Amino acid sequence: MRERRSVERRWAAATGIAALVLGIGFVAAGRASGETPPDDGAPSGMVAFVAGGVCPPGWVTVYDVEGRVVVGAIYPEDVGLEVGTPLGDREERKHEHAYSGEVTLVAKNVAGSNGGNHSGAAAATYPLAGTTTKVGSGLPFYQIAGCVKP
Amino acid sequence: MKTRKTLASLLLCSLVGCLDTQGSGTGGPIVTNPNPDPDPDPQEPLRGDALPTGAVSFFKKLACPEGWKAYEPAAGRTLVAASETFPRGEAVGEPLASLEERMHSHALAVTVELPAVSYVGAPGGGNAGVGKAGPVEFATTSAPASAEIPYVQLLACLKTAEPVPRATPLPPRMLMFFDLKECPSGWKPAEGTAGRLLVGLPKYAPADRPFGGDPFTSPALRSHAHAFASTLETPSHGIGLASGCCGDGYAKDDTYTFAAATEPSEVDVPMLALLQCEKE
Repeated sequence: MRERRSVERRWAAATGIAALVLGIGFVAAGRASGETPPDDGAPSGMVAFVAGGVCPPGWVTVYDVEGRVVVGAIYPEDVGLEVGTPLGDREERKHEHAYSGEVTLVAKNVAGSNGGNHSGAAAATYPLAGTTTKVGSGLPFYQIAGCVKP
Repeated sequence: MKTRKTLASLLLCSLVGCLDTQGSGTGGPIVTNPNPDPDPDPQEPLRGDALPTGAVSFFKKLACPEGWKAYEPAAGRTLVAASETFPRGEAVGEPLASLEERMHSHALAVTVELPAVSYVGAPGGGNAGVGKAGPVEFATTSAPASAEIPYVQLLACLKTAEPVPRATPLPPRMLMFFDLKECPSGWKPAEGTAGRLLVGLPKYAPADRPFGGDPFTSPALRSHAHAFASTLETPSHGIGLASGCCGDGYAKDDTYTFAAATEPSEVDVPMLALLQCEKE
């Protein structure tokens, strides 16, 4: 009888330890593998800007938005399409313009034949071309964490 | 025996997770509805979401969720937090077409003064090889270019259904646009973002930082100008006359460098101003 109780106690102790170890292991594994977070009531797929720089529990960084402005779309085929390369930290993206045109130097007649005095500029239409300096757009921005509810 | 059953159930619970009241097995918190269905189906998950009616949000989805509808005023536009001087509902610019890079160009105009030389001879006659001194104008329009503001297109939706709050509230500090006059209960006006284009935080960058120009204080587009410089190098035209009195007013052969600024031009980033609120 005494021996049977002893076996039961040992079995109970072993089962308890196994439950505790396995339980801790599964909880840790669950957290590490992205255990379902509490339902905060935000719909799946929602993209929100969140102050503080960190996405809330249960939300993840939306990489599509990093360094980009978001433009609204209402047709499914337009969703997720991107234009341009993302901005860096507080980057004021610059741009430039090519230009070309002409300067016309109208003639002024002189009573003389062509000769060796080259002090005067030839009457002609001169092409000019170049590129402007690069400048920013002057637009005001605010960089803030973009998060999506999976 | 009782001890054995208890410990066995503890082991089982550790392995499979304890069932919650909805039988989902997630062990998650109990979802509560402030306006409970008088005849609820315990197997049916709670429908609807916690966002207030009138919320306007972007979605990384192909269709708006249940209780939301496509928000056409935001199509082809970015949303900007409204202010007293840039009131909600104000739309700026024409909407972008899908993947459109909105271009702009600048007018350029500059006058170059060419100094005079003179010949020992009389003006007039039949030789038209030399140019006239004085101002010459260079006027053109630049090639169009984009301001290169990178963007991503996301689905814009308006919440039409009543909110269905959960036991766990929406995250504090999340910003949301609203097609409303005032922030809903539990939300306060967003600070620091008014009149600024929101950009997703670049990797490793500090959060919540304004940059670029001053915030929009009116629905007017923002304009900018560029500097430009060029060189006019004239070839000479030889005349068989000595330099001197009194045939003057002929342009001097030289290299002329000039610099100026383009006319200002607007960068047309189409916007819609809406009330923006922060979850308390």
